[in-house]
Formats: sequence, structure tokens, C-alpha cells
Amino acid sequence: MAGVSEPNFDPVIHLPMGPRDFQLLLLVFDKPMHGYGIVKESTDRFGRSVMDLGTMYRIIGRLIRQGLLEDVTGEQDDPKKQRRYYRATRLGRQVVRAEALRLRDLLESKHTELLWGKP
Amino acid sequence: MKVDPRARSSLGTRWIRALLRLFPRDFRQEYGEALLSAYLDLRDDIRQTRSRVATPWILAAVTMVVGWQIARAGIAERWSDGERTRPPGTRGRKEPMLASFRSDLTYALRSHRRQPGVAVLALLTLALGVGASTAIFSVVNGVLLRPLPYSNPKELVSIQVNSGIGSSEGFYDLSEPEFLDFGARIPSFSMVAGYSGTEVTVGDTLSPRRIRVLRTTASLFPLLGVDPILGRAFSADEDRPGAPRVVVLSYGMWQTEFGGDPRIIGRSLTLNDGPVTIIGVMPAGFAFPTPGWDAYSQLLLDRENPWERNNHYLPTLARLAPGATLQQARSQLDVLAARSTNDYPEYYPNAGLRVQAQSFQDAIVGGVRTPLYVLLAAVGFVLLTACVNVANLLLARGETRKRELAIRGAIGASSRRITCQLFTESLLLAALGGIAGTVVALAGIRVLLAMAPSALPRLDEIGVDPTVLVFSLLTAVATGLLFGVMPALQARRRDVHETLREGGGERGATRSGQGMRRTLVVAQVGLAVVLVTGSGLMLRTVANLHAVDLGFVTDNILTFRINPRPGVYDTPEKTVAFYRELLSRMNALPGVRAAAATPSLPMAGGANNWSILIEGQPVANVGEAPADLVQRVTPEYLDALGLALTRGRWLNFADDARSPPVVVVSEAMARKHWPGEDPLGKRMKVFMPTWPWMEVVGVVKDVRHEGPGQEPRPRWFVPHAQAYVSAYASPLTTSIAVRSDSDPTPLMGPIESLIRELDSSIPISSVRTMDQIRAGAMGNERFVMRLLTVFGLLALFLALVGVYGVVSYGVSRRTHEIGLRMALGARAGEVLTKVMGEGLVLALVGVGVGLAGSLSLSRVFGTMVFGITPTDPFTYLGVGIVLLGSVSLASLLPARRASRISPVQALREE
Repeated sequence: MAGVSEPNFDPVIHLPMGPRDFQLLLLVFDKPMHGYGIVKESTDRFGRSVMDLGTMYRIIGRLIRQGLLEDVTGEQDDPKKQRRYYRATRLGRQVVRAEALRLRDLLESKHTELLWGKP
Repeated sequence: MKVDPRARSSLGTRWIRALLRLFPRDFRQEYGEALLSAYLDLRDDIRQTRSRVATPWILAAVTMVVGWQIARAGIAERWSDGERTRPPGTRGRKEPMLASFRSDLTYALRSHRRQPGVAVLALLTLALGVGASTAIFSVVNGVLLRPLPYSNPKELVSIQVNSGIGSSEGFYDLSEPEFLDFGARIPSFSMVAGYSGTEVTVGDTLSPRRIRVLRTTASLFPLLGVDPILGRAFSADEDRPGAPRVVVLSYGMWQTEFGGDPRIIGRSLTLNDGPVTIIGVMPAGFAFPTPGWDAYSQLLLDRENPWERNNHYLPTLARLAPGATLQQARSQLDVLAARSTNDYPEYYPNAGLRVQAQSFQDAIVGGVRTPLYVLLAAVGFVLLTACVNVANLLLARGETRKRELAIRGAIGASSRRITCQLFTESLLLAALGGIAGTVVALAGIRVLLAMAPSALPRLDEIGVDPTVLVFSLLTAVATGLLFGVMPALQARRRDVHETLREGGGERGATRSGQGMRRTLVVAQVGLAVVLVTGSGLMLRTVANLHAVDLGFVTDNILTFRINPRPGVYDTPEKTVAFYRELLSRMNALPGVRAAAATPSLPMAGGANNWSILIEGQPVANVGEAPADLVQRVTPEYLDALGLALTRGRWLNFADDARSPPVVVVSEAMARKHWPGEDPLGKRMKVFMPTWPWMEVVGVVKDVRHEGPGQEPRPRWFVPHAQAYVSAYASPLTTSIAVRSDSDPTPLMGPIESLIRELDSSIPISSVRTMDQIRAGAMGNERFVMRLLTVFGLLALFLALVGVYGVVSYGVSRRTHEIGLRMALGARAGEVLTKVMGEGLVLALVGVGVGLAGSLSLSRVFGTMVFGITPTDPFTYLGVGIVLLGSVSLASLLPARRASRISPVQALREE
């Protein structure tokens, strides 16, 4: 794992997550993807791309520093050797799960009932 | 860090790479290449999914958008990076600087908005100045500055020789033995490659087409460091006599002829009657040595039995070995040349073999360096003139703002703050001017490309790249500082109490302010004089080139090349008969005055310089023999080109292989070999024992065959029908010149069907009128002349505006004084003379300074002028008079206004 100094192993400390961090980790939750693949996939899955190339790499850089993402280029068999592949670390997956739980609890709480405008 | 091979310097990737620099360095090192690779993925994706037509536009738009995103992210990353690493406490100190800049900016915007006229005028001037400079710089950048698109282009060396035969001036291509020597015996060269261009017919007999093939040694592609994108280049084994012919296609030909078919490798192509295997495709943009080559094939040099040492046809390129310098290579070449001169004295007489080695870039662009730098300097002068005008505008405005600035000073603004404020105003103008200028430059580049002579090397590499954008930005900032410094200095020097007491009215302009403006205007007039002188010199040069007697006419002549197939016309008799038939039919066409054939038309290159023997003037060996240019022509050539016969007779139809050999010489040729004698009846022959003597039967006026700017060289003419028995061969490939009484272009249709009728397999190429050829030969001079004229007029206009502004400002400032004088009895005429005198003094000093400047700069025009010296007194005198006159006129308007001031009104206004 390049660029990791001292990852904080407690998932809770990373909560709440930024929406784009969350989305990016979701995309690379179970399979490694390369930079352009992430942009394309996010466009396909969420309708429109929520991040641009520059911002995405800033997020990638930060997530790697936080130990949530890892560079797994070496494991990939890709004809285009310059591509770099990223995948969520174990900690990253835990954090995403924790964030998802947090969001679910939030959405199921009484306060959000107001949002749906019950008759 | 692996570099993506797709990232090979396209404009888009260079742009993205440049913007990546906005990221902090460690971020860039970690993710830069990955980001670029993602961008390339995106690009490939678009290429695959979008229609072909729209792709370039979509790609350009996407590249801009991605660039913007990267720039934004880069700055954001740097900022947050700074926040993380900045030591505590430093933040507090930075804020006020930024805050004050912001308030300065707001203030500047507001003050420009208050006087929009001044701001708009300044902006327009700047946009023109910056735009013109950037456009010219983009040409200089593309042609002269940008490295050649080969690996380590600085190591490439072009080699030429002068063997000592004939003219001792100039250098030309190598002979085969010389090429082999240089390849084997110069330790400073790691590789040497030779090449030679040729035209071949491609395709079957139904749709023949001519393509340009560069025949090269196998070493060329490794030497340049460029690999084919498909297939491979030639191997050394394929570059030997007897090897099967193979061909590497250019990217352009691959696309146009084969639709970019990826399975093209191994297929065959019919070139000149024979099948040739396609082994590779070069990348897009590969254009060696110049654009326009369709394919590359082997040279098939016979290394065991090379041609003779006096056959110089092989352009040669070498790569310096690692660590070797050009200087070392030159001294090794000199040693080798001295040895060759010693070993082969018959080939290297007189001064012996001399070698010229220069960097390949110099060899390509050396000829246009001076004109381009002259243009860059000229446009720089225009920019300076524009700066002076803007500075003057701001100075004038500064006068009216004195009171405002004084109050700011009085309530506590330090002079540094006020200076900062004024600079911010100038820089804001400059920044906006720079942006507008870049837009002007984009349009300007298109105009320049349309105007540029086609002979300008590296024309296709001209465009906007990061270097050009940086130049434009720097120019804008530099001009901002330049025109900002004057008002700022002036504001600094001001005494607050004095100004406030004066009331800051129009009347109270400081002496120093007006003095500064006068100095600026003098400088402006001086610059305009220099530019107008330059354009005057070039105008006269072009006029001289037009007026020069070429020895032939150029109007109403259509020319083209035809290339009959050697397989069909395999004997000289068949060749001669074909041309006789073709030309007699062509001359019978209505509208044709004369149609003739010759292998080398004037100003279209391709001359043969042959060693000859003059009867009664024996020489020991071929080295001592004179050499002159030969031209093989059909009898109609005299009429078709309008040559003038001065003595004897011209060649006629009876001069064929069965009749006694004859030759017609030019006046220069007659003077050279038979000075003071009658050349008619004298005999000469080509320098080979077996060939017959030819009798001189006529003399024609000298022809400037090489172009209007070149002195005519001695030439001799032999009949095409006889040449194969008297002068080596009757060439099968020739140019045809057709002269008509009016516009000859409509004749091309009937001529084409006539040729098709005779032989449908003959391709026709290079269709041009002689006027076009002539214009092409003067292309560089005309280009420089037109641009210098535009710049000269622009500078003159700006200078006139400047003079008008200063004089007119002086008048308005002194309305009160003039009114008083007139009330006291001064006449209108006196006032007029006085005010005009003021303008005239400016003009005289400016013109004097400018003419002196032109004289000291005249040396750079040395190689560019024709028919005049760069210090031509008439041009200088004319420019002086024109400038004095127009500057006086510019001060006439305000002077008239001054003379009509009504004393009563002027005094009442007080």
C-alpha cells in the first residue's frame, strides 16, 4: 500500500463520510478498477458522473493516505500497462459498511418521516 | 513511472501535461501519469463511439473541459496541501496582502468602469498588439524554436560537400563513395543515413497516380528514432541490390488509399509496373524530411560497387555518437576530406573536397531564420508603439485623477499603496488585453497560414501550444508593467499639498507629466519610422523582383508534368516519337500558341550541371573540365517561354538523331567559353570520349532560370529529339509548358483528354501556371513585405494617434492661456503656427531618432533585399518625408481648434 503512513483502524473515526468518498469506495468495493473505469461506471450507475477526473484523483490520493483504498496495479493483467488499479482495503470496506448503516439508520429514523409528507 | 505510449506529444496531451503542473509535485509524481492515462482512455472511448466527422470537435471540447477540471483540482490540492503543511502563524501574515490585492482589484474595476472610453481604447490597442505578437511568435515557435519531432533532435547532423569542381561556392549532396566513407570512418557519428526522393506511378493502367517515394538507407528510421506504428521498417538485408522491393507507407497514404486498414501489412502494391510488399506504416505526423512524402522504400545502394565520386545526389544525415560534439565531427570530417582530396585528385580539383556539417534543424530552417526574426522584432515594435499609446492614455487620465490620488494620500495611503493600486489597474487592463489578444492571435494564425509561402519549412507545425500561450501571457504582463510604470512613477512624485491647493483642474497639469508624454511620443514616431523603413525596403525589393528581366515570359502559360511508363517507351526512338506526336496534337488545339516539353522548367528546380569539353580548350581530367547547366527542350520551347534569340538560329524539327548534333547557348555561356569571339560555329561536347561534338548554332538571351533573385547562370540547350545521341539521353518524364493568348487554365480539360486518347496510363501531376510558379519563387519576400507593410502602417497609425493626443491635450490644457493671448491681440494664424510647431518638433526629433535607428538596424536586411542596398537613400528620404508630413497633419487638427478658440468663451469658463 503506497502512501499509507499510519492508518487509523477504527472505522467509526472516518464517519460521516463525504458523499463522493462514499460513492467512490462503493464502486471499488469488490473489484479493482482503473481511473477512467471509475468515472465511466459512476456515470453508468448513477446517471451522470458526480466527479471529474481531477477531483477523483484528489479523492483517490486522500483515501489512500487514510488507508481506505489501495493501489493493486501489480495484480492486474492489463495490456495497457500504464493504467493504475484501485480497490477498497479491508478497512475501507468496513468504513463503507459503517457509513451505509449510518445512512440507513438516519433514513429510517422518525425525523425523516417528515420528508415523505405522509397524509 | 511508465509513460503511456499513446501520450506521444499530441496537442491535447501536451496541454493536459502542462496543466498537471498545477498539482503539487509529489502528487503529480504519484498520480500524474495515471491521470493522463485516464484522459487518454476517455479520448479513445470517444473515438470509438462517436461519428468520425464530429470527433475532432468533441475531442477538443472534452480536452478543454478536462483541462479545466484538472486545473481546478490542481489548485485546490495545492491549497489544501498548503494548509496541511503550512507552519502555524504564517497564515495571519498572508491575509492582508491578499485582501489588499482584492480591494485593489475591485477598485481598479470601478475606476475603469468610470471611464469606459479609456479602458476600451486601451483594451483594443492591447488586443491588437498582443494578438499580432502572439501570432507571429507562433510561427517563430513552430518553425524555429520547437525541437524537431525526432528522438534527441540536437544530435542530428546534416552533411553536404563541395568537391571543388565548378563553382567553389555553396554545398551540395554527397556521392555514394563519400557517403560510405562518412558512415564508416567518422567515429563521432553513431549512424549515417542517406535518402533520395523520387516520383513513381501507383496503381494499374486504369487510374494511374503519381506518388512521392523517399528511397532511404535502412539506417534512416533507427537514426531518427521513429518506429512504424504498424509492421516494421526495412532491415539491413533488404537494403542491398537485388533484394525484393518493399515499402513503408506514410500515415496519410495508409488512410487515403487503404482506409486505415489494420491488416495492410504483407499486402502488395503496384509501383512503376511491379508489385511491392507493404511492410509497415509510419505514425501520423511523421514528415521526413519535409511534409508530402507518401511512402518510404529502400535506396538499394550497391556498397561494393558505388557510383562515381562526381555524382552528387545523396542528401545525408548523421547522428552524433553519445558524448561526441559537432565540433569533433567537423574536425574528423576535415581530416577525411583532406585525405580524399589527396587520394582522388581528379575528382577534387582546385580547393579540394570540403565538407559542411550543420545541425539538421539549421539545415532545414536556416534560410528563414533572419526573415522570421525580423518579423518578430517588427511586431515587437508595434507592441511597443501600442504600449506607448496606452501609457499616454493612462498618463492623461492620471492628470485628471490627481486630485483623487492626492486625497487618498492625505487620508493616509502610503505611496507604496498608491503605486500598487495603479499597477493593479494596469495589470488588470493587461490581463484582459492578453485574453482578447489570444483570441486575436488565433484568428491571426489562420491568416498567417493562408498567407505564408508554401516553401516555408515546417509550415504544418505552426499552431498554438503551451509555449505560445505562455508567450502571450508574458507579453501581456510585460506590457502591463511597461505602460503601468509611467503613471505610477508620476503619481509617486507628486506633492500632495501642491496638488490640493491647485484644485486639480485641467489647467494644472504638471510639467513633468507633459514632458514624459512628449518623450513617449518621440519614441513612438521613431519606432514607426523604423518599421516603415523596413517595409519600404521590402516593397522596393518585391518591386525589383517583379521588374527584373527574367529572359522569359510568365503570363498565360500553363505547366504540368507527365510520366509515361518506361515499360511502354523502352527505346529513345519511341520516347521521341511519342513527344513529337503529343506536341503536334497539342499545338493544333485551338487557343494554344505553343506547347513544349523539357525536363526542367524555370523556377521549378531539377537542373543538370554537366562537365563539358570545349573544342580547342583541352583539359587534363574531368576535375579541370568546366561544368554548365544543360536543358533538353523541344523546338517549341522558344515560343512557349518567350525566349529571345540574339544570334544564329534556334533548334528546329530537323535537329534529330540523324542530323548533325547542334546546341544553342545562353549569352553568359558564350561569354564564359568564347570571350570576345563569335560562338557560332564553335563546338563543344559532354565530357565523355564516345559522345560527338555539337556545333553552336544560336545564342539566346540569359534566362533567370533559378528565380528572379538569382543571377542568370550559363546554360546550354540541346534538342530533346537529338539528346540521346548527343547528350546522354532524351528523358521520358518531362514538364510541358503550354502558352496561350489568354487565361490558359481552361485548356487543361482538352489537353487531359488528348493525353488520355494517346495513352490512358500516363498520369498528369503538378498542374500550375507559370505565374503561380513565379509567385512561389518570390514567396518569402512577398510574405515579409506584406507583413512589414501591415506592421508599418499599424505603427504609423498608432504614432499619429499618439501625436494627435499629445498636441490636442496640450491645446485643451492651455485653452485659458490661448484665449488670453487672443484677447490681447494674437492672431489665429500665429496660434496655428505655434501649436503646429509643437507637433513638428516632436515629428522632427522622432523621425531623426527613427532614421538613425533604421540605419543601425539595416544590416539585418542585408540578405533580404534585392536590387537595392539596405541603406538605400531614396527609401530613407521617402520615409522621412512621409512621416514628417503625416505627423504634421496629425497636429493640424488640434492646431485649427486652438486657432478658433473664442477669447470671450475661454475666459468666461474660468
